[in-house]
Amino acid sequence: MVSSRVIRNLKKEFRQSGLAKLGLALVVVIVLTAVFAPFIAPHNPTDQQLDQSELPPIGFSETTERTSSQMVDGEIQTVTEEVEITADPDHVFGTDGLGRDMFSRVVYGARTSLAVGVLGTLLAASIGVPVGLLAGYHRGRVDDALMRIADISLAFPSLVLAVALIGLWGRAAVDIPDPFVAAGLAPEMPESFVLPITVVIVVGLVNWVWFARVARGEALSLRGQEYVKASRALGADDNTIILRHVLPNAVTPIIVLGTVQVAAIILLESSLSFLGFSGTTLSWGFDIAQGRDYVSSGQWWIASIPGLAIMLSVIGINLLGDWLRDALDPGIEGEGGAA
Amino acid sequence: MSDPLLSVEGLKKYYADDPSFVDRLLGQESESVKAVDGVSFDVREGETLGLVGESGCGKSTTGETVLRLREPTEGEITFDGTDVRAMTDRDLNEFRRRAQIVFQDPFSSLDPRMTTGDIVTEGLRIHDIEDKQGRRETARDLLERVGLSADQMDRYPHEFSGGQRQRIGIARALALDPDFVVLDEPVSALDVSVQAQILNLLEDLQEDFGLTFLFIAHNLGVVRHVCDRVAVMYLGEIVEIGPVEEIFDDPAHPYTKALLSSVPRASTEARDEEFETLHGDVPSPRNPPAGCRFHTRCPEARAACRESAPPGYDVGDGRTATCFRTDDDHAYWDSEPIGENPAAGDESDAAEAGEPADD
Amino acid sequence: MSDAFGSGDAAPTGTPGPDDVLSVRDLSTRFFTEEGQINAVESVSFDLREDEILGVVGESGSGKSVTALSLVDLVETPGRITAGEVWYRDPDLAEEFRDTESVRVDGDHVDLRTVPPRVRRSLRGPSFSVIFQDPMSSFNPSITVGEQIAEAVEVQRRARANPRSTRSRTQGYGLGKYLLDGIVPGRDYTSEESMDRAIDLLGQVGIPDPEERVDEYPGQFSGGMLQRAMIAQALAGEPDVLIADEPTTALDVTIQAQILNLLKEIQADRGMSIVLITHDLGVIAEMCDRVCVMYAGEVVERGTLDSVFEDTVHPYTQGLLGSIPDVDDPQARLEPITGNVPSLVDAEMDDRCYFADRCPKAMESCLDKPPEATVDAAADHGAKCVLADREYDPADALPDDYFGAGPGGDAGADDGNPAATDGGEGE
Repeated sequence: MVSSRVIRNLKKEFRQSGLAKLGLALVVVIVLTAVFAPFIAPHNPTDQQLDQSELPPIGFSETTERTSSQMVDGEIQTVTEEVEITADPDHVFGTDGLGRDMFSRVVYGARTSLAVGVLGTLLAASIGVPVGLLAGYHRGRVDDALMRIADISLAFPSLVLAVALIGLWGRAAVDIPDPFVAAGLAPEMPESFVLPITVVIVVGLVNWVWFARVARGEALSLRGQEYVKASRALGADDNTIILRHVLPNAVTPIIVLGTVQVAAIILLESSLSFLGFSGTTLSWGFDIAQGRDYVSSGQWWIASIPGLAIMLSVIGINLLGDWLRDALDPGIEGEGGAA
Repeated sequence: MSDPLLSVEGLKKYYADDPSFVDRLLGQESESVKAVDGVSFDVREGETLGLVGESGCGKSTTGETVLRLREPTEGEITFDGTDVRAMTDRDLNEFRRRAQIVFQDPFSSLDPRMTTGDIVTEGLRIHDIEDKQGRRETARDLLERVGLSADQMDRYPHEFSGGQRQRIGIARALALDPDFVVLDEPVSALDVSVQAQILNLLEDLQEDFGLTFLFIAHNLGVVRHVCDRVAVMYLGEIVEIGPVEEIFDDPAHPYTKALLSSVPRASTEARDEEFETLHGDVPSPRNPPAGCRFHTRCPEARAACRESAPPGYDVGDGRTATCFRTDDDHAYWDSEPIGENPAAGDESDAAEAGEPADD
Repeated sequence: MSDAFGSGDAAPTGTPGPDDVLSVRDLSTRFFTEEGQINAVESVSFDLREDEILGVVGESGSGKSVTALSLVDLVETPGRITAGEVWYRDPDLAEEFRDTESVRVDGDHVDLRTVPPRVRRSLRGPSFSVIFQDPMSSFNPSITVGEQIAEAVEVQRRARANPRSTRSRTQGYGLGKYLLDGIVPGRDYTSEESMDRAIDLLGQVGIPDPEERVDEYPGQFSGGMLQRAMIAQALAGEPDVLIADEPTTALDVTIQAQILNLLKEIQADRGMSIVLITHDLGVIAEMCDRVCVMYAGEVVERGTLDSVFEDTVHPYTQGLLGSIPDVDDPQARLEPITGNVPSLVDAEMDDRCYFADRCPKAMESCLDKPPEATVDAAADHGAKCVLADREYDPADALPDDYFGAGPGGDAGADDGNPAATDGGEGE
């Protein structure tokens, strides 16, 4: 289905665009990190080592006032002393308030973000694309109803909607055993990956409208194409036409939207975790929430490092989306009037 | 050349303007465009009937409605003795195998994601005729028959030129071995040298496959070349119908006359002659003029033309024309002339014609 | 006409004659695309006389439109004019640049390829006007038609008021004025007088009720009316040369006839020169005094209308004429040209007669590029074809499969890039 010309275009755009290269590099790094998290993370991200809490990232040091009660001359006195905490090379990104390794947490957070982003997008697309295609192709009342729902849900802040739905359904999570750990390859690591299933469903339900709108628009313009008319003249029924002629030609914008939606859902997931509505504690948004209280007392990294991770992955995915759009869009449409 | 294969009686197709949501809520009727407004004609077995007119006259809509690619608003369509509008799904399936269409735009008429072979055999697949191997064989034969080479069947449409794409579209229409083909401006998008190739091809195919054509076109030269009979349309109505020779040599309706005299002739005698042509634009089909629809542009129009619409008059040689001038006894002859307006005169209709309807 | 007819070479050469408003010499325009270099216009030469309509006819991909754009320096990237001279007759301009080293001046003629781009730009409107095929996309849909015509009038007015300064013509509407327009409501760029002139022009091109229609937006006009409005806009600058690029292709036949009549009238009234570009030989026959037939970027045959149509030499011209279904005389069978228009990609162009692969009379000698040969000097008739000098000799004919495709065959000749060379134009 993907012709050689599309691949040629992809390559050409890739060669020409430095941003595309950056985007692809970022996404590849994030995906590899998420998949091979047990091998990349140096520590178990949930192990608490209270004696090593609040260590700064490598290259930074931190002075803290430490108060302790000591027996001085038979009296108990409160002594305050300045302590210089230096980074521990074992914790490159430092540790959080409970002494958990930040680097490991960021690595495992990538799993949550990516899993929710990709699954949520797939769910949204699998609802939105069929509904949109049917509505756009058949027009009429279904279409009217769909467009009203779409307008309303787009006018409604998606975060508020998501929070409301989670409030309604609770925070369910599914434990998925980690195959690497189960195979004994990384015995130190958490035995299962916690997928916040409610969050996946909720982001899917919040974001399907985008897919419905794009699919509808495509179906609306494609149904007027003469090859669709020709197919009807040959006796094809509507479902055949939608599957054979409409969907394949609508795929490009849907893929482009899909990439952008992964990024949007990662952001939404982080916001939900930040607000405490996630079903997992291994999430960038959750860590930001944890680190929030430390920012004022000087432990900036606990919130900033997961924040940086969110930023880089969202930028990476969006750059990838831009590349796909530039490479795929002109290819299929408008190849008519060149001369 | 005797029985009509297709017979159309009083065909109407109105388009409602897409009603907005608010309109629907309030139950408001939206304005309708009378794309085809009471058209009757027969297409006889083995002949080519031309349907000619300017853009917005409803000729393409007629072609698609006849095949039930659009649902008619009113009227009868009879194909080989069967009522097309009353067909069940199964009948319609059978009808689809016998009646096909070729479109104008060689770019939008082929699915860019399908190979030539798949496009050509789409009909066979839909009707579950032959196995995969057999279909490939058929595709080979068809491609060769329309002047392409069989080894091009795995290529995609964008690898072909306009003329070649049109050949693919023709092969697709022929795959089901139809009796009747609607040719909807099949050569208008092509260069003149390629256009001639396609016209010759269609002529050969008609003979070899025993096809009956409804040939929709705006190019009168093409119509004269390929058609046996011709129907001239103006604003959703047929104003004149009959054998092509007679109509082109001696048009009875002033509109046909004007169309013919507007065509630039590719001969040196043409230079230095002012064209005789019509003033003004085609009025909007939303709100066609009362009486004879052509009276706003007609050089011969008289008061009578404003009052009532002329019926079809038999003008001999199997021709029919809807013009009072063909009736020597009509009150038309005694009424006041309103035609021959100077260019800037009676063109209030032109102002409404700002958006000529899609054809 | 000071062309030296003589040996075999009849292409217009040498200095432009006093009657020539425009003399084009060896003009070449190339497009530098991903697919390679495309030779859209290949060494084209012709003269446009005073008070005439010159037709340029060819199929899509023949280079006719690019030729027109090249004349007015409107070729867009990746296209570039790579060679040639465009001599324009303008005594004032010639005087202005006579002593400028870098500008070529010959009598009253100036080679526009050598003048500064600013000057070339300033000539658009007052000297050259262009009307395009699609009037809908040539007007800004959010500004009234009247306003857009008045703007063109305004440009002309400034040019009149200050003829020696080419600067003033283009730079009248600066940023300051733009800002002022934004702030002060109702302050229009166009003056009352220009608007009156716009109404006047709309009336001249046959638009009914011009006083009212002047305030309408392009969307309220029909295609034919908008084409009239575009002609009015082109006339605003009172140009010497009107370039009409497929002006009636998008129109219905009765409207086309109206527009062609209008162009004829305007030409006769004003004595201007028109370059009429079209794919329709019928339009050429009705309108033109002289004709250039283009194929694959070259002018393959040119001359007076009578001479080219009646004593056709080039098999391509013959093929075009044989392809037209005649309204008055139904032939039994059309005689089309086999094959497709070539792709014009430089790498695929052999150094031969470009038409040889489709030509029914291709001979051995067609494998060398033929120069333009004189057919009839009196009718200014020349053709780039060996048949201008000799008869077709079947003994020298190239074998049918010489170019790889059999007869009838656009089948095998496909080269994977035809979308760019064929198809776009409706009739």
